[in-house]
Amino acid sequence: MTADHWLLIAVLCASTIGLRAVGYIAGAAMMERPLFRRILQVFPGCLVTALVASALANGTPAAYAAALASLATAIVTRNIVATMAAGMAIFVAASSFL
Amino acid sequence: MRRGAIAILPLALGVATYGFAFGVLAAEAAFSPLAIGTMGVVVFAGSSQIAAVDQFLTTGTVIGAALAGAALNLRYIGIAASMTPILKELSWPARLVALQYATDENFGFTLAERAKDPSVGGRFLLGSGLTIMAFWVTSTVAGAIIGQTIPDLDRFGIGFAFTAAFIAMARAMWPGRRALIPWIVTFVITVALVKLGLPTAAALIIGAVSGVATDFLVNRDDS
Repeated sequence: MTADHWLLIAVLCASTIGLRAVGYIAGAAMMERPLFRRILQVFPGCLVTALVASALANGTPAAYAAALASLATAIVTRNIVATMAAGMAIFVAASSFL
Repeated sequence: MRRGAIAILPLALGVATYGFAFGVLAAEAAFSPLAIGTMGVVVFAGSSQIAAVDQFLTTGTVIGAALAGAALNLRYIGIAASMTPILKELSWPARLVALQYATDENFGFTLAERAKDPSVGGRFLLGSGLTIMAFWVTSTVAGAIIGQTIPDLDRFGIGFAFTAAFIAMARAMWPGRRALIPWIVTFVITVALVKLGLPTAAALIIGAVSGVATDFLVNRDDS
């Protein structure tokens, strides 16, 4: 553990509480604006996709095989733990072959 | 309040399973059980915590990690705005606690129960939120303790766990076919930017913003 770990927790805490407070105080007025509402609807999904992409950008063939297995599991089960288990299992198995 | 705290238990058990997995991963990024427990109480935003810890592990920078975590929390603006009528029946201190411990799970559950029984409201939301928080904190700390004691987690494929978690999150956020092209554009641009050597945090934001811009272009009828 370093000071950076605690700094990250503090910054995340401030941003979470701040955004919840902004939403409670001014969210209704903000959501009345179609542009803002649409950005809030679309941005989180794009960001999660970007997180997947950045993790796979320099990935091995085994990582891509595991990503496909995770995607298939996520589509079928919609369960985060099952998806993680399937992805990790295929990643380990594929790493020994690919 | 008690009614909400009990009714949410099945969902809280589901939250605890991925809370445990997150704790194991966070231990991999050198977070102590105390830090993980503290993060659970004061941040309490699962996907944001996962994104931030992942970015901290891969980039080692606080700014990039905080940016990724905070960006995912933007959706709480909409959730908090929708909670306003339900929270009005609570005192101010209780209102703040309910606001902090509202999740996608317990807020959605409260709305569903309220549709069946109009007496369900702020107290139900508060009780269910506190239960989820207790399960989340306990399970993440347990995961962090276990994660510290198991050597060489790589042999279990732990290096891929965060990616798999993000894929599961993307599935949960999938709004339908309208997102296909924006998400493909996001994916391709982010991969290209990372390959070009751009810092990961910048690649994430530019990739995601490109996806939003694409949504405006290809789904014009929705505006």
